[in-house]
Amino acid sequence: MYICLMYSSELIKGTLKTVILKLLTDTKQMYGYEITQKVKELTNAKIVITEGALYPLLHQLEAEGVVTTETVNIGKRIRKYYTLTHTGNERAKEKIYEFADFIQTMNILLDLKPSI
Amino acid sequence: MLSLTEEQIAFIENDIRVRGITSPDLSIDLLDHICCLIENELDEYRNFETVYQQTLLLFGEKGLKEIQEETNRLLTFKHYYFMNTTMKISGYVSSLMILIGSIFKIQHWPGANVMILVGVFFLTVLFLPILFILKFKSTDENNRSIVLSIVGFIASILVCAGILFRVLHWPGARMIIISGCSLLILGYLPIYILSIYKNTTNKMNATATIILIIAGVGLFISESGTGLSKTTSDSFWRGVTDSDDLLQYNNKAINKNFELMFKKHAADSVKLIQLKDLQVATDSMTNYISKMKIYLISVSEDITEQQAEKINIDDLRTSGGNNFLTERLLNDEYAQFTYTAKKLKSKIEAYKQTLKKCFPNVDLSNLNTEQITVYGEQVSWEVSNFEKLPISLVIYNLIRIELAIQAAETATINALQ
Repeated sequence: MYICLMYSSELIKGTLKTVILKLLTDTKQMYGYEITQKVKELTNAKIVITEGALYPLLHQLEAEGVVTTETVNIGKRIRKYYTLTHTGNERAKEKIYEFADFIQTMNILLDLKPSI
Repeated sequence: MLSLTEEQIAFIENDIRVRGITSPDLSIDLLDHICCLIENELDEYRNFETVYQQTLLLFGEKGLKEIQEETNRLLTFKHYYFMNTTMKISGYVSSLMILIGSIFKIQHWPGANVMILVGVFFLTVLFLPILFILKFKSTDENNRSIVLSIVGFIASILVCAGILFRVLHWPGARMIIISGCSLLILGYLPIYILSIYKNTTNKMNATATIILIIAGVGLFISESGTGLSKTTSDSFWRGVTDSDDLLQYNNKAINKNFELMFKKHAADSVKLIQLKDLQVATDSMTNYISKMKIYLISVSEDITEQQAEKINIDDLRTSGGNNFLTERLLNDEYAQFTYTAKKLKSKIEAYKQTLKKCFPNVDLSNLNTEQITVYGEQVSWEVSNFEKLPISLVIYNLIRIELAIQAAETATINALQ
């Protein structure tokens, strides 16, 4: 799913949805390629999302009504922009909160010292 | 960064289609994505062809098609959680309904049939199809498991329908259950066992399933056989049906006899009155008993009296409900009811008095209502005829009493010659 240079895939499995939702919360409108580039840029290429993981998920989110799409003609080709719906905003908050909570729990569980 | 020309874009668009992407929605995404990737890489030193081929390598061995498959999988499973929840809820509800319905049925409380009907309905219309769909989807297109799901689905629908037919006394129940069970034993089980030996991960689980299937089917077979061999129970039932036919036949003969006697003794007013009394008393007696039979069948089988009237005696062969019938017939709690063993007994005694008035020496040994000795124990007539017997035997005993009445009646008519 991920081409992941740093982390094992089972570690990151299941966080992709949260990542996409978070990106769409910050930047209102994004197209697929832009999302992959943004993730690469933000993580210093520690996490690279593949097309094989991204598009199926985007289409699923669209079917669930979490995101809507808007098409823009770029010359001969069409670019599809993804935007969060109202439900999508709610879902994003939930997912991010859930993950933050999870990290705190893991902190306690694995006795990690904050690296400040 | 160079922009792609219209021809190049058209080429990619076509190539995506050739590589098996059929969804227009997805091909728009992929086209833009691939164009972006190429435009990033393209410079004066590399041509479009090389960059395009390199870009395609990024998509892995199975390539673009896998993205579409993954998308379809996610989209078909959009309703997965909903279906899963529906399946679970309908499963719990229907099994609970069937269980409670069965308890109601055994206790002869009202509403049993409706509950079982609704339960089986949910089971066959919601639970089994969803189970089938989910199982079908989750199998990795393995031919054997698809066949297994289909066979299992059909067999379980057959068994459910058969039980429903049986409970509601619709015809053909036995055939449906037997075909469902045979399909399980001869179709499902062999394929299932074969598939386990291919896949050793869950042998324990599989053993449990096999045992459950065999035990379940075994229970059905034993239940439908009532412990008697088919020949034994068949010959018993032939006897009962024959006795019933004999009753009708005798009745015709007796009525003819009465007509002859009325003609013969037209001048003898004493004999005419005796004959009339005899006829009225017998009519009331047989009327009472035939209504009693219908009433008992209707309460024991939980059907209306109209249905009970039409029911084939054969269909009663496996019905239990002994304690319930015993209570109805023998318990003082039900003393005010029209049809009890005590009332039948007093009617028979009154009838015997009428016969004796006609002819004091008439042989009434067949209509004995005294205590009898069973295995060295004194048992009342009521108990010996009705206690703890299934409906079939109760009906059989009532037919016997009817035959004894006919015999006594004929003997009396003959005595009056």
